[in-house]
Parts: sequence; C-alpha cells; structure tokens
Amino acid sequence: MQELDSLASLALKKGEKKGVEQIEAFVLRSRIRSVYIEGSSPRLADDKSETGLGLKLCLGKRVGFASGTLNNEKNVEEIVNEAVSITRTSKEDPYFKSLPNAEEICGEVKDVFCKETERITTKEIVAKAMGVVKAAEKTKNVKVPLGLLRLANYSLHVTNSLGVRFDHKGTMVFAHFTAKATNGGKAGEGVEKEWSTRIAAIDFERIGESIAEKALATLKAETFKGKFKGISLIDPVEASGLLSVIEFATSSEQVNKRRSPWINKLGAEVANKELTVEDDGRYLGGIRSALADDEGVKTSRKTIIEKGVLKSYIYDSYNANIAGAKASGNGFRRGTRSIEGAFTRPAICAYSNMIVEPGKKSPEEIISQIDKGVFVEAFATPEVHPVTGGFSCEVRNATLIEKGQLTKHVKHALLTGNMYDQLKNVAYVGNDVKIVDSFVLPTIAFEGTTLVG
Amino acid sequence: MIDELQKTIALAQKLGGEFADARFETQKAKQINVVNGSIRTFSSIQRSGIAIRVNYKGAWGLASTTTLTSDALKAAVRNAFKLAKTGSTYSKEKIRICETASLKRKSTVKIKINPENIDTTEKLDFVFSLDEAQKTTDKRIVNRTSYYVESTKNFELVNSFGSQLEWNETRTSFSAMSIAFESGKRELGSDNKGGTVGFELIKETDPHVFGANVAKEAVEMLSATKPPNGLMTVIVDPEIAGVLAHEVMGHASEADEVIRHRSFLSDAIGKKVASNLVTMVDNGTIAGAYGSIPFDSEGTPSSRAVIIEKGIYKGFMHSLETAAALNSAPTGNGRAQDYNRRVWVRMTNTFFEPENWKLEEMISGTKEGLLALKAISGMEDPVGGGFQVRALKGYTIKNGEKKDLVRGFSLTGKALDILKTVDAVGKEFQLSLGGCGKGEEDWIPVTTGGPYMRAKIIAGGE
Repeated sequence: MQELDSLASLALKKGEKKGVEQIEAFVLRSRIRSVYIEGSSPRLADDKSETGLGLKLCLGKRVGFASGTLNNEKNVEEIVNEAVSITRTSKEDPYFKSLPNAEEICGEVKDVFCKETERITTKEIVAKAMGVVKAAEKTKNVKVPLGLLRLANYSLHVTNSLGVRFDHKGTMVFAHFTAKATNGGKAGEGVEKEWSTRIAAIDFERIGESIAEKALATLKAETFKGKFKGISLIDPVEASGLLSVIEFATSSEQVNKRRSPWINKLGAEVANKELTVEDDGRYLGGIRSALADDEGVKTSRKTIIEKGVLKSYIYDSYNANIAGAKASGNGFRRGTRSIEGAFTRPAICAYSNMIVEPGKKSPEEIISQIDKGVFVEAFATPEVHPVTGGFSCEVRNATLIEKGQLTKHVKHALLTGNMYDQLKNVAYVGNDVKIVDSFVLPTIAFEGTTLVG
Repeated sequence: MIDELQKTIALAQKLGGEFADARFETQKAKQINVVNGSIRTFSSIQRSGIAIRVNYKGAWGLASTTTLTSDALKAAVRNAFKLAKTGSTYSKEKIRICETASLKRKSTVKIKINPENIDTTEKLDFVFSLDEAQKTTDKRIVNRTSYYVESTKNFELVNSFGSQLEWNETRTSFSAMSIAFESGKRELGSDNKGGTVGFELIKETDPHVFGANVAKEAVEMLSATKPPNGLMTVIVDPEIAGVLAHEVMGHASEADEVIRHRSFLSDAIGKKVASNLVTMVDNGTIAGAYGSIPFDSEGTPSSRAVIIEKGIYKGFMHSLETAAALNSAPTGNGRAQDYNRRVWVRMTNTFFEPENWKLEEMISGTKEGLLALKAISGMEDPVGGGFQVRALKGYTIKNGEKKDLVRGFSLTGKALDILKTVDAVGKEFQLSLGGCGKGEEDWIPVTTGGPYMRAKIIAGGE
C-alpha cells in the first residue's frame, strides 16, 4: 500500500479528471491495541489496523462526501466514483462557498506523538492494566470486574485542490477501569477514566487505588431522601458533560442554524466572572492537539469566554464562510477515545481542547468553604439538553457537605437545574486540572442546583 | 472470501488455538441530512475488513485488518494467537466455548424494496418534504433537522466448529427534529422511524404529516410548565418503559455482566423481581424490527430470550462463552459493532410484553401523578440497578384527569422497587429504534419498547 500523501494525491487527480471544481481528501492509517480486563484478569487483547479515505467533492454549490476503507488501490477509484455520483445527484447547498484555502502552518505542538506509546509491546500493555488490578485488589472485598486500556497510533494526511497539505502523527491512550466492593448483599462501584497522548503519563497504581476507594464509598452510600437547593461541587469527568453546553452554544454550526441560545450574544455576559474558557488546538498533550485541524486549517489558542463574557464562537471552514469569519481550526473528525473510522465522517465544528481556566483553591479548600452542598463524583450520565439547558442527572456516588466537612455518602438522587442559568452561578473553580475527552478542566462548583431524593 | 476465512481458521488451529472464528464484513451506507431547507450532508460509506478471534488457555486474541490479501490474513491469525497467548499468562482458568452444531447457511434479508435501487432524487425529495412540513407548520419553528439513512451489511463467518455462514442486514430509517423559539425560550420536538426494512418504509410514510407533528410538538412545548418533583405515581409511555427494560433490566441480564459479578440480577433466577403484570423479553427474530438479526456476530441464530415472566426472573442473554460458563444455551446475543470491534453480550429488541389496560383507564384510576412521554436518553446501571431516564415532556394527572403539559424531566429510582409497584400495564405496544453502547462505546442497532405502564417513580426537573 502506498504512502498516505500519494493515496490522497491519487484521489485528487482522479476527481479532477472527472471535472469536479474542488476536492478534499483525508486519509487515515491507524493501529489500535487494547487490553480488556474481565474478572480481574486479561480476557481479551486486540490489535486492529485500518486505512481509509474520506473524500469531499464540490461541483458549484453541490457537495458530496464518500468514504471507504482502502483494502487495495482500486478502492481509491471506487470512492472517487461514488463521491462524483453523489455530488452530481445532490441538490445545491446555497450556503456552501469553498473548501479552505492553503495557508502557512508554522509553530510547534508538543506531546502529541509518543514513540514509547507507539512501540510498547502487548505484553507491557497487559502488565500495566494488571497494575491497576493489583493496586485495587489490595483493598479487602474489592475486585476489578472490568477494565480497558487502549492505545492508538495514527497518521493522517489532508489535502485539497486549493493547495492545503497537512500531515500529522499522533498517539492516544484511554484507560477506563471499574472496581466493585461488596459487603454481604450490598455492592458499590468505583470508576476512573484517564486520557493521555503518552502511556508514561498515566499512573496505573493511582487508578487502582482510586477505583477501590470510590467503590467503598458507593458501598457505604445511602439513598438520599428529601430535597435541598445549594452548592454542587462536580468532579472534572462529570463536569465535562455538564459543560458540553458551552461547546454546543459556541459552535458556529449551532449559531448559524439558530439552535444555539447564544446567538447575537458576543460581548454579553453568559456566565459569571469565575468562568474563563479557551480553545487551544496546541495544548501540551491535548488529545486533539495538532498544528492544524482535520481540514488542514491551522490551530491556535483563542478565548471563548473571558470572566463570564462571550468573546468568540468556534468555526470550521463551512460555518466560517457563512458567518463571514475566519475558520478557527475547529473542523474535526478525530475522536478522543479512539481513532478508527474517523475517515468516514466529514469534518464538523468542534473544540480542539476546551480549556477551563483553573481557579486558585484546591477541591479540599472549596469544600471547607461550603456550608451546605453536595460533592458529586459520579452521575449515571452527566447529560444536559443542549437546546434548553435543562438537566436532571441521576447521582450514583456523592457526598454531602455540611459546615465545610464531607459527611454522608449518598446515591439514587437527581441533581437538577438549567446549565445556562448555572453558568451564571459558578461558585468556585478548582485548581486541579484533568484532561477529559476534548476538555481540560478542574473541579467546578455551581450555586443553586437542586438535589431531589 | 469464505475459502480465505477457512484457511485462517485452519492456521489458528495449527498454531494451537482452542477455538477460532473469522468474520468478514462489508458495509455500505448512505445518509442525507437537510437543515433549514438546504442540504447539509449527503454522504456514502463503504467499509470492509476482517476480524479474527483465537482463544487460547483462558484468553482471547483479536486481530482486525482492512488489508485483505492472503499474507495479511495469515499475519492477522498469527497476531491473534500471539495476543491470546500473552493474555493467557495471567489466566486462572480456561475459557470454555459452548460447542454448537456446524451450521452451513446463507440467509438473505427479506425487504420489499432495496434502497440501492431507488433513484437518489426520491430520497432527497422525501427529506426535503420532511423539512418543508416542519417549516410551514408554525412560524415559531427556528430550526429543522431531518435525516434519511440506509445501510446494508454483508457478513461471512467461519469458525472452528465447522460453521460457514453468509448473511446480510439492511436497515432504513429517518428522523426529524424541530426547535421552536418564543420570548427567549427554546423547546424541541422530535421523532424517528426505522427498521430492518427497505425503502418501503419511506413509501409508506407521509413526510408532510410526520414533519408537521414534530413541529407541532416543539411549539406545544413552549407553553409547558415546571414538572413536579419527588416520589409519585407515574404512567410511562412505551418509549420510557423500553428504557427501563433495556438500560437496567436488559444490561444486567447480559450474562457477561453476570459472570463478572457486575449484575444486580446475578442471583435472581427463579425469584420474584416484579409485579405479576410484568413480562420482559429480548427477541432478535421480530420481522422488520430495527434490532433484529438473523445471526449474531458469532454465527448463533437469534432467538426469543425470556428474561421476566409474570414477575419471576427467568434468565440471561448469552454469547457462546457465557452460555458455556453458566451451562445455558446460547441465545444469539454475541454482537460486535463491526469488523474492528470485539464481541460482547448485547441486546436486540428488548421490551415489556403488553397486557390489557387502556391508557384512559390508567389515567382515570390515578388520583395524582404524572404521565411521562418520550424518552430522550437513559443510562445503564447493571451493578446498582438504578434507573435513570430523561423524558422530553409529560402531563400532570389530577383526580383522574390529564392536566398541565410539563417540560422535560428525569425519572429515577431502583428498578426492582419500580417494577414491584407496577399496577397497570397497557395494551398499546410500540418499539423505538436506537443505538446501544456498552461502556460508552461499541454501538449497535437495537429497539426498546413495551406498553404504557404505571408505577411509583421519583421524578425531578426544572
């Protein structure tokens, strides 16, 4: 099989011969290796290789996208033919203007590719996963029923007929482990997730200790009864789900399509002054960090919310053209937990790395200042309706805060509120920072949420 | 490709693999997305690849590749065996596989109209009609999003028991979502339809009626008020009943969760877990249902697995491995998302069976409560048995009458507490399509559903 750039060039040449006006090729080659722990031992190890092409063609304002795996070189022609057929039969998109133009991409981005992560053997991956099991099962009555350690290394090449040429090589590591604590007929579960571009950055012993501790806490937790309105302090992994409304509301796709509640709100207060949010496509060790996005548009660091004031939206090339703005390096296909199949979708408007500026206090100091509240470590799913902002999330593991102290473990309750309102009631932002998918964020506290049992 | 797959299995056995299977998949899909009157994406996917599994001394190795040469397949088998061997150094016990009869079958999906034979213009016209219907229904609709999706997967599978299978699955679906805006308030309406069917689904649908209903729902929601909070009598609709069936009872009935001691139902067989009115099944054989499959990803024919029968817990869903571990028969629930994903025990069409109540009777028999409608999302909790679902909307019930429309809210509680309080189960029955993940990934097509059901549940929302 040829190199990625020559496969992409071949696709461009074949497309141009068919008379298309603009064409973009995205070629991805990936190798993904995982170890699944089941019942405290490695049950399955996998090794998966894939090469694929995603092709966008433009004939005037008709745009089509076709993609496929590259099992052999003949597939390039088949994908081109399919893309041409789709584009010719499609209807015009009056909003489409152009693919991105070529620009100089300079600077550097660190910690996105790690040789050690690429070269580590399966035996070593298994040993690291078993390190979590060993650390967790030091605690009495705790077992690790399920765990996943996944490493990916990939190369991508994006090119278009307007001169864009971009290559990127990356690695990503995702760990997701679960411990179960039992006592008689009762059970409690503790979960940890970690993201990194480097295997060495993950402390497997700490994950094991943490899931054991969380499982024990959930085991002790009692069903919460009653109702109170107060401060909720949210763990970064769970907070990322709640703050996903910021990604929705500041996405130029949602603004252009009038789905966002923050249309015409540039310069307005959308949060309180505790909250500053940036998008940084070159964040050190960020999962999506690269010199350019998946359309080949250069990435940068930009302020989205500054002390509560909305400063900018994020733009992929399609939506930037509609808004008369400059594409901000926010056209992505790559996922943050794995990379396979990324060539099957056209780039969409998304954050590279959403950075929530950390505060000055540690989570412990924040707890000491809360008179009445709840510290939520696990929701069933931290889901917010992006259009309305409404949320009511099931609490699976939380601890009540009374007079500056963590007191009783609780579960089976709902934390309710409206996230667009809650952003105006951010009470504290912690100084701890964690990479969670495409977020880099600390523990965060909101005033005025309701806990219902 | 069958011959090449046979060779890989022979090599796996020669290397020392205790069990091996090889699955070749090709996928073809088309998707059209129209937003606010203009086409946003028109895309096509064609993927193919092979997954080879080898089992050796208590561990699995899985290798997958999109390079389909003989050399690449040989390398993949050797790799799968090596991966299994590496994992086996930590294994405490051998993995047993439920030995099945050697099956040699070809199965072709029964659809009336193959979407691939339909002109693109007709597909585009359908999606644009969905969009137009939403637009013309009410001026307060500020955003319309409509989708059409068709997909066909072809499978070839060979295993070391001598099975040799070929089958395909075709799915067609569409959806519409409207957002209404008024006085700073945004609300939405949405609906979808689909199945293991062909383009006949589209021919049988009036997009003008479908789109208009979605838009009307969004507009109606603008006048919705705050939902009540706390433990109360709730009548859930078939969609929400389906989430309870799938997310809590279903995931906890996947036998791999049982074996890993991650299921709150591990010791439930033969026990009373719900009121007598509750019967729940997973049935992968329902003609046309979105979650139906002729065979699972291990080549086991799909089946009807009874999970709860008249309140008594009956059994789990199985793969070849879990069936052997728990001395049961495989149920055809070993499913993988695609050629580069692993097999887990997964659901197909999971639902509560209907009984005889009319919805009106359930409402008139409720002094004070909530009618919960349309599930937006739900989350599994096989360990704790906790239930959470987000409802799009609901109506308060007072003195036996349906009253005020309320905004979206969540329902929660312990599933077994809820099921034991079920005192009415309706006769109307509906399945809803969706994608199911395991551990937040590995998405597969499923349906969930049931009838209207009445129980005591905690509700909360703003």
